[in-house]
Amino acid sequence: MFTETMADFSPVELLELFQRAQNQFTDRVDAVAPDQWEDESLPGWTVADLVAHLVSEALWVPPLLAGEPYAEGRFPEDTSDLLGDDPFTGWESAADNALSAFAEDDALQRTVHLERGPTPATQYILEMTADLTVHAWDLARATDGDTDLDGELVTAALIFGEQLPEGGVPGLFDPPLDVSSAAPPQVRLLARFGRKAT
Amino acid sequence: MTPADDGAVSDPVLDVDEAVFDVVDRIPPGRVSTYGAIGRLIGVGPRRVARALSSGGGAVPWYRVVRADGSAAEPVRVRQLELLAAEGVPMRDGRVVLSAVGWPD
Repeated sequence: MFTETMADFSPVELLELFQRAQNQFTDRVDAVAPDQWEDESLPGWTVADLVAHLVSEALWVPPLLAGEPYAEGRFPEDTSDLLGDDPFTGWESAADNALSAFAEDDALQRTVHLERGPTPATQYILEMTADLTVHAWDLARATDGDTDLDGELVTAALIFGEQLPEGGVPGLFDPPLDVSSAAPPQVRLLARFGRKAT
Repeated sequence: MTPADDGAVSDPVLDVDEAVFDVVDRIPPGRVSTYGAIGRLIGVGPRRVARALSSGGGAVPWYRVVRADGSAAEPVRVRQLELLAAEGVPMRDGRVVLSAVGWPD
């Protein structure tokens, strides 16, 4: 599915971008008001569901980097189980452990075994970075938060997005929308992931 | 005082700050902890720890606490890495090598 390796970024740069993408998402989670958790974020998803999705992805980082294969049932699926008593704490805790795992000495030289097959850790971390970046926008839009994304993260996520198949990846990435190549990078990024910047 | 092992700090803001300072004060020279690790010891998240240290951590070795990837927060990065280097803390690519000096063990 992904044909190119990540020659564009060094492992040091990839880790730095991931940390910033986490931080950007954490800012948006921190800004969610108590009465916004049940609001819609994406079609069929509440704000809580969206954050829980990112919690689940973060929980998977340490075992995948330790060489465990993806397996259903390893972590809870229910939003309330993933978030625990306090969604912000649930997210922060999972995110912190994911960052530790990616920062281990040779973590980005490893291969992880995703559902779709063996994937270089450099590709995996860039995919996580892109996902965090696009979902930070989703979360901000759903909660009237700050929808301006970090420009360097937009660039990195665009590079990842360019590698995606033209029709998207069913269940993972929405098909792209038409957008002018002269549009600002954030608008092109959002379109690449099937989102209309408004 | 809240028992150190009950994992829940439900006291006012300043008590959390004090708990952070107490733990950070115990990090020995040459060793480095993370916001998350300090937070786990007292039952709060990494950002709460960072906030306590940035607002009033001057009396404790705040610079011995970094992010989970060993990087230093931008506003204090240069100063922090200087202070850590002076204690002989190993670094690679601008990040503390936590596998060598992480605290607690």
